[in-house]
Amino acid sequence: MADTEAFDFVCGELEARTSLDRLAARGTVRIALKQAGLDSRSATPEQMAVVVEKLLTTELTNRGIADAASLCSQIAQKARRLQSSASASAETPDAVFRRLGG
Amino acid sequence: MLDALLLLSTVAFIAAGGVVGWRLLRLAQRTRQLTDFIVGFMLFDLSAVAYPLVLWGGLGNLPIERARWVYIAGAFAMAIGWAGVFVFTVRVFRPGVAWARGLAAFGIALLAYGFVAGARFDLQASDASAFTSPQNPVFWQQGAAILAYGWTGLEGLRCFLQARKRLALGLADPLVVNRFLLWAWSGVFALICIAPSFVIGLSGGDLLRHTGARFATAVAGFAFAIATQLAFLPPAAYRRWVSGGAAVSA
Repeated sequence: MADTEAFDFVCGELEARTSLDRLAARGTVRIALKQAGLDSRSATPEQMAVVVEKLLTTELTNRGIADAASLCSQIAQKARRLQSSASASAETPDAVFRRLGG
Repeated sequence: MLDALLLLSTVAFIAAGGVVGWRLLRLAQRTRQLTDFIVGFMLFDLSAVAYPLVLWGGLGNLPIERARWVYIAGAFAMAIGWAGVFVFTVRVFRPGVAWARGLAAFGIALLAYGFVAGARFDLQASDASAFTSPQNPVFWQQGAAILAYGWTGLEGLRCFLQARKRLALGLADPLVVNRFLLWAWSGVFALICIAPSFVIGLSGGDLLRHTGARFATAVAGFAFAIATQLAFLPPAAYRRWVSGGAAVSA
């Protein structure tokens, strides 16, 4: 399964707006996603936005990125405007177990 | 005393699995989702069909000619139900993952072997006590079931740990998080129900002589019934308690 559009978008923004290269940007976002219990192959735009706001800021600050809070706030706003991709809305364990509760 | 506990546990296991399984089958009828059907069928089949048939056939109250067919029908229903556990685990927790497909295929092959070899053994048995003897290859079905429940329990635990992190960020429903944990526990309890009989049977022992193993089986049967009920048919008070607890932690 491929990474979601929301994940690729956030990584692309980081790559374009910071000194991080592609590998470092994607690795940093993956670390933040792991801390949130999420996966790059199923993260929705809303989930990505929350991770960017609440977890990515610290990760970027630790990597010496200046004004990480403001940058993350801007990226999160843009991420929220994305549409959920097909892979993000696929049958995740969450979706199945939510439905099975009735 | 222990016999009464085992009887109560058996009734609770059959009732909870049957009711919850039926409810999930009705849900599958509405949602038209194969996954919902698999979990509903598996619970209903194992609790309300397979287990009663195996008990009925193995009790020794029926003429051997009828008992063996009842027992074989029960073993078939068990194999189908436990295959459902493998299929559900792959579809929900590891879709498209090669090693998971391989593990499920191995488990289902073991179930098929246990059923076919077991049925041939049962057809030659002279009395019902042979059905549960350690020489009966149907025991391999239990081995496959231990693998299925252990695996699905671990997957449930993994999802619970991930979902708990999402809950802290407001990205998960506390009831769903709790349902993952209950699924993991139900896997553990089902495993405890089966493992003593499998291990004692393999070592040539007799489960009826092991008080500790029978007690563990009875308690685990009760616990499985409770975990399944709370996961898929929770009372309103339990829902409030789970949601309230999450709100307090948040």
